[in-house]
Amino acid sequence: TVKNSTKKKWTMYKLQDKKSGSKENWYSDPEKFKRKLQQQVDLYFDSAASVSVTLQDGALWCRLYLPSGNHFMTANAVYLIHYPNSHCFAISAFKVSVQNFLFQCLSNLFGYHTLTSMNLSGLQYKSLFQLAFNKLGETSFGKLSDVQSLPFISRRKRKAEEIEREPNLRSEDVAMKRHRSLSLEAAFGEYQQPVLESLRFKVEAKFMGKKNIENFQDNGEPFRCCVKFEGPSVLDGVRNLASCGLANEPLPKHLLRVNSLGTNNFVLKSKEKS
Amino acid sequence: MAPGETSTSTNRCMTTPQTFKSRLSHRFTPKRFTPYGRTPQSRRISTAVPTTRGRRKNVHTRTKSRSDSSSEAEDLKGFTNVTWRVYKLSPLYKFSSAPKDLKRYGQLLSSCVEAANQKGLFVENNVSGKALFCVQEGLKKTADDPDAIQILVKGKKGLGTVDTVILTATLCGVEMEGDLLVPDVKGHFTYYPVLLVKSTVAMTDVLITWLMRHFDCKISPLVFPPVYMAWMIAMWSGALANTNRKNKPVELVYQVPSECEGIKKITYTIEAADCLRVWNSIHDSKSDMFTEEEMSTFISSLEEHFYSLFRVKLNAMQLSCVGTSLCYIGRDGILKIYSAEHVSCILRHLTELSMEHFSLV
Repeated sequence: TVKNSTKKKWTMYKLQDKKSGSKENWYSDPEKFKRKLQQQVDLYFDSAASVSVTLQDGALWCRLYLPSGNHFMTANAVYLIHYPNSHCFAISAFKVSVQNFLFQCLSNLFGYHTLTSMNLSGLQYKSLFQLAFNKLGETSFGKLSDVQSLPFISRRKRKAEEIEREPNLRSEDVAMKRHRSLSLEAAFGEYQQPVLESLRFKVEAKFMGKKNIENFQDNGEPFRCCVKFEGPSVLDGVRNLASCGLANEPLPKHLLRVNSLGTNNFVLKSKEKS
Repeated sequence: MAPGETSTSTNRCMTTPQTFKSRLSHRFTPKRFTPYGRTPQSRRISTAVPTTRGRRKNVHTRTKSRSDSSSEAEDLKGFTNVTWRVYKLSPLYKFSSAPKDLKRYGQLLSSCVEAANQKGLFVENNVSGKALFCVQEGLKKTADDPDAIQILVKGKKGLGTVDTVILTATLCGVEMEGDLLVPDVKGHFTYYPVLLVKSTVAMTDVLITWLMRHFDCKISPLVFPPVYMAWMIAMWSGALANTNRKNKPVELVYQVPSECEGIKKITYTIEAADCLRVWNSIHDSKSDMFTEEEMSTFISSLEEHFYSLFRVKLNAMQLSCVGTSLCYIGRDGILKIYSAEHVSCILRHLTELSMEHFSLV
């Protein structure tokens, strides 16, 4: 799973409401982490449940096997990734029937009352952690000004756009392209975007397409729709929509601020409703 | 191509040149024909009830008795919740729907499947198939419609002991408008505009190759360009509004051009009731006909709303799939029907689209 982490869909959860009286339980030693996790798992599951932990790329990788029945089933295996000192973790798919007990184990393990879904999921765990960190903004040591040392932060610069110039052709919109390129760089930065495979918006807003409709039946009800952007790297794709001319600038805030909002599932409502 | 020759000859298969009757007179015209049919200026809204013919006039629909439509829905239930591949055909030479001929076709197709199996064409080896041809009830709506034919290939997959249906196919033409076959050759040809197939790629190839060889016809996928899918959205987005059933949301899937890296597709899903509200503001619900202008206004207003939310130009992208309460259609000829009561009207529309490909402009 460490080598094929992109084969699994990871969901991010954040830790909230620290338990009073509990010490900070941050483990960077996989053996200690495994012992503590095994203790919790033994309390809530069969003795047949097994735990294994390894440290890879600065993260603790856990595999929990929670058996149901006599036969081995891959669906019973749950994987968890946690960076020491961070207030979030990534978890693979698990059965709904084990959720309560599993989360109780993790709550006791980390020393936090609440494990809240961040509505952030995808295949690239490093990008997910980067987005979660952008939202939460701190670790147990307080806000880190030096983000270079965090193992999940990607600091690769985006490839510069190449404008092909034919010697005999004169482009009339070079200034416009340059202006667009500068404004996109100001909006998105010069570094590569985290990799997200989907971006979903649930919208309940007034219908805005009635320019050509004479007698629109506006009964005050919102126009409900759901929009999903899908692709290998949606955040880069949103930027490229503007650079290809398929989107007009300035892009709306709910597309520009995905990086800092720490989720890829949004609900947009018109201001009167909210 | 020599001057004076027309490209419509490429649209015809191995049939005689006089098979089709032109809708215009036979006078010579120097105009160069393209392989594209003329997009009609208006269409009928397909409903589950029979309508009188005619494209531009307003027509009033008769309502069928409830018992008729429920029994028809029962007959056609096998078409629902199945992903079909849709093909268009040229007329079949010397095809007969008599029981003894259908039995003979079944035997011939069975031996063809067996031969293909022995050549190792199927991924799952030892697919032993027995083919059956029978008349499909419930799809012959007018006297001009041919008897719909259902083709089944049953067999055992691999080392299995139970017979399963490996291939299901239906040849049909529903409410065919006009007769494209000239009287001289009508006795020799049977025209089925639509073939629906549900099977693996290899088995589908075997069936299509056998039909083409045996009946001297041409079969090709019925592709739905974005404008056709826009018509379907406009026609069917609120089809179940007057029933107690919950409407599936209307889904439009746009394919992002490959120049824009990072995003492959944008899925725009709209609640059926809200979509119907927009449609009713554009089109008079009492009228059975609607125009291309109404359809364009409808689609552009939905895209305009999307633009106001995201400033992304959907009109610069192509529709690749659309979904309504009645069915889901993909550009490459994929079809999934959800409502048994509307199978006839959907097949009627597919018949119309297929026949447009063969009518001369």
